[in-house]
Amino acid sequence: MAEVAFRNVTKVFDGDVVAVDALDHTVEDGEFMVLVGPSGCGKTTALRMVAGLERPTSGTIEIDGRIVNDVPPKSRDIAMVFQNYALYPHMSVEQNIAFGLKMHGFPRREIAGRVREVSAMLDLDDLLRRRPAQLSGGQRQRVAMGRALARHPKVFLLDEPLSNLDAKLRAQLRADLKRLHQQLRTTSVYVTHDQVEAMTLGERIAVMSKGRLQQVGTPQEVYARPANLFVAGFVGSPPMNLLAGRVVGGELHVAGAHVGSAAGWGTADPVVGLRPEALRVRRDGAVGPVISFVVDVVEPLGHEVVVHGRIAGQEETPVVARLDAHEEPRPEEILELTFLAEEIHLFDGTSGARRDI
Amino acid sequence: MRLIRSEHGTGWLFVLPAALLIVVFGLVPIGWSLLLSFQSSDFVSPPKWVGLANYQALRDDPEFRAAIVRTLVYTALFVPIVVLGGLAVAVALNAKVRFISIYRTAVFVPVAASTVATAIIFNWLLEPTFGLVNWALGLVGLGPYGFFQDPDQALAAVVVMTSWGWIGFNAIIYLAALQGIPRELIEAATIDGAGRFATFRRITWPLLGPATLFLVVWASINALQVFDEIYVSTRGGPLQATTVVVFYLYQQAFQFFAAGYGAAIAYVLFVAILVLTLIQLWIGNKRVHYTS
Amino acid sequence: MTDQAIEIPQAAATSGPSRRRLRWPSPWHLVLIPVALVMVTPFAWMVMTSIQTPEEARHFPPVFPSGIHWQNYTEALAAAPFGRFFFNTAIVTGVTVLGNLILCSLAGYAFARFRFFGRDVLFVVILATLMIPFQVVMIPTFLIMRHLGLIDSLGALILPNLVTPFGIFLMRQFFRTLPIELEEAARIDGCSRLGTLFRIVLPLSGPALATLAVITFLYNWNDFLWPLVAIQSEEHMTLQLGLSTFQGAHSIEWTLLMAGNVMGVLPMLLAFLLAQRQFVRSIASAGITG
Repeated sequence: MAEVAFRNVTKVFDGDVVAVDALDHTVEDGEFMVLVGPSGCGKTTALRMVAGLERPTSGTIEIDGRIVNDVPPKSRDIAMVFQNYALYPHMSVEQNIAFGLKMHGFPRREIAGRVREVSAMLDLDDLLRRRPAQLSGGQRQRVAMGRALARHPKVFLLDEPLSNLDAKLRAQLRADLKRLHQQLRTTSVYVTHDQVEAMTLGERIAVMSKGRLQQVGTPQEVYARPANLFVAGFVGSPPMNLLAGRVVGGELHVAGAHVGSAAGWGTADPVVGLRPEALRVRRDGAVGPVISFVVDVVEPLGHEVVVHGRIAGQEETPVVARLDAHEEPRPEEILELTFLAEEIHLFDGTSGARRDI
Repeated sequence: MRLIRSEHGTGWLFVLPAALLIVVFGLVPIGWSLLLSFQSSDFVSPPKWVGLANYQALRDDPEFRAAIVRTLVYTALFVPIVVLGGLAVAVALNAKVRFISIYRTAVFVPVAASTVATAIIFNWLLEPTFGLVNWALGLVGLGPYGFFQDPDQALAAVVVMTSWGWIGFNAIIYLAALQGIPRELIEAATIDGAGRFATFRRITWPLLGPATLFLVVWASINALQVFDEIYVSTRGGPLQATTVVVFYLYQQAFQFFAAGYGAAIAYVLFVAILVLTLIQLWIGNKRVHYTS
Repeated sequence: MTDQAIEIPQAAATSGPSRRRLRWPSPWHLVLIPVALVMVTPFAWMVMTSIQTPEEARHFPPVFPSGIHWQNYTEALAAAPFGRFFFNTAIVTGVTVLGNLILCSLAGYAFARFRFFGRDVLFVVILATLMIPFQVVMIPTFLIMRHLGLIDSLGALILPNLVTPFGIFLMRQFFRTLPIELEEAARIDGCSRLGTLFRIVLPLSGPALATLAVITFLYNWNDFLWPLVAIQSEEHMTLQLGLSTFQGAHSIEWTLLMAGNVMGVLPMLLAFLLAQRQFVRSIASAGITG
């Protein structure tokens, strides 16, 4: 069982910078967990604490049921892939892969065997004698992965390993990573600031902000039911529209449209979230809430268009919609957009937390 | 490159002042020195051609041979002390402790003292009767020593003096090199299971290769040419114990006015430095891994 | 994010645990303190002796000074013209630094960006002179200076050091790291070669110029062997030469000597302490270039 558990972990750096705040979270054995959030949210610090490169200020970290706070990195049976690869420049690819095994005292035969195995898995056979300086970015990243794989660790830790690569390579390596995980099923903790990467790679994702865990769930769960305003605005591209809602006489209104009954909500004004794809052009005769939308900028994407605009009469409220390409919206055009009442997300106006009614 | 068009005129105009100065004060003296070494001159009367006589005299000159030995002994002591000492100090200065900037300033400060000032300070420090060092050694039951005034100790004392002056320089360069090693590499090594010592031996030390090579070459050249501190402290004595090659050169050329002989000594020194440097660079290039 | 009208409330982060663990002082101090003491004590002792009375200095075991005996300094100043020494050194150093900055930049720029007949040969030849130790050129340079009638004048100290191959190498290497597009844009805008160098390239060359300045400053301020050979009269002596002569004349008057030495060391020491970062950076980058 190679479970990774954060039990109420807090990390404070000198100067009272709270990098991680009471993180309590478990990564299941064999799971590919992605920690995602904007820079400074604490995800990298959390990862480094699992690696043993930082010590928690309070709380415990457990790997495979054992508390590892005082265990040095080399004894934790973990391997890490760094953002800048961290390949030893004076060693060949082969020596880079073998180094960790040598340090852990593996016999030479075993080391050679693992190097071969990893090299075949990652297509490194032609590169074994080369030095890192002679490799491209994608090749270096594969060597870094190979170095981690060769250790057969209980936990893989990956710190934004794809962020230095161009888009095409990134997509390719993402697929490779996913395939490898399906093959090996090693518990993996992956850190990224890119929510697209998080959604495509993670079996579960953990959204963090300012040191606190905001929500954990499968990508689908987090997308469909964001737990608070931060997650709502962070996950999804283009981001969810967050509009001021009003409760008047027990009825919910937003952007000039009447949504329906607000029974169970109370009287405080909520924040109403609407995903861009939830908005569609109203067909004549259809019932349902209607928003008058003024088109500003149109971004054609082929099969659909992303339309940036405003609410007619509420010039300061920008709204983004994803419409079918056939609608052919034009700048300054006024469209009537509608949506299903079930597609709105309601958030408490003060705390930002999600509430359902 | 697009902008580098042929511009002979302007090009030469830009280089001319520098080139001229280097020709007059670099190339011409180099050639003239060689010429001088085949002549006999006392700076006043016209020089006389003597062919290889100066070099032959050098070969048979016991004082010159002794000077060579002393210079080599000095170099063999100075280089390891100053390079390895500089490394050790740099490692210590790289530690994350409070007051580290104060420690760094303290270690670097001797670089600001000139060779002359250093020698004067050490003349006083190593003074056999009143000096601080003999007093301190006396506290632990050692000494008193003659240092600069004892023929058997003078050369070693010079090594101590010049090492004090130069370790800071080596530490500066090593510290910069250490700080140039990405932190991630050390972290990767830690996760790979390397302890402190293994990390230093297999990661840090190889990556310091270029710095080490530079410092060894620099210290060797510096040691083979040592003069200032010796002139100001021991004047080549006592009993020629610290008469190194350059000091001998100075005596021959500017105290006995044998310009040709002095030029010959200078050329022998030059060849020695050149050969030693080439050997070091050759060994270095085989064993030093340059990262891009 | 559509948050112009909506403010996203964030839960305030709880402050860290109030109990902060006391950390033991690092064992590195045990190494660093002795090393620092060894490095600093000679200076400290020099200063202390310089303010002692001669009797205190000759006391064994050594004692701390009882008061500040300024006479040592006034006597030293009377015995030798330290002000003159300082002035001479300042002139020589100032002119050589300026000369190097200008001439090495000109030459370095030409080697970096121009193509002209004989460029590469000239560059290699210039670099080759770096390999020649000073002692080889010392005697003929003396003869040349005698020819020019410059012996025993500051000119003899300035001319040979007005430009150095190392400086040319340093500037050329640095210029090559600058993006050439800037200079091309300047040329298109109508700037001459010289103008491009002075208006565009040099302002961007701060680090290299600073390094060159510091290295030249250190070398010329501390130079001893050449002034020893080239200067004979006291009024033209540099600080180092003056100090050495002073020592020769007062070899066992330790308090006097130390006062003189303090005055000799002070300028460079102050410069170093005020600009330590630049000194260290210059030395380090000179090492990397080497």
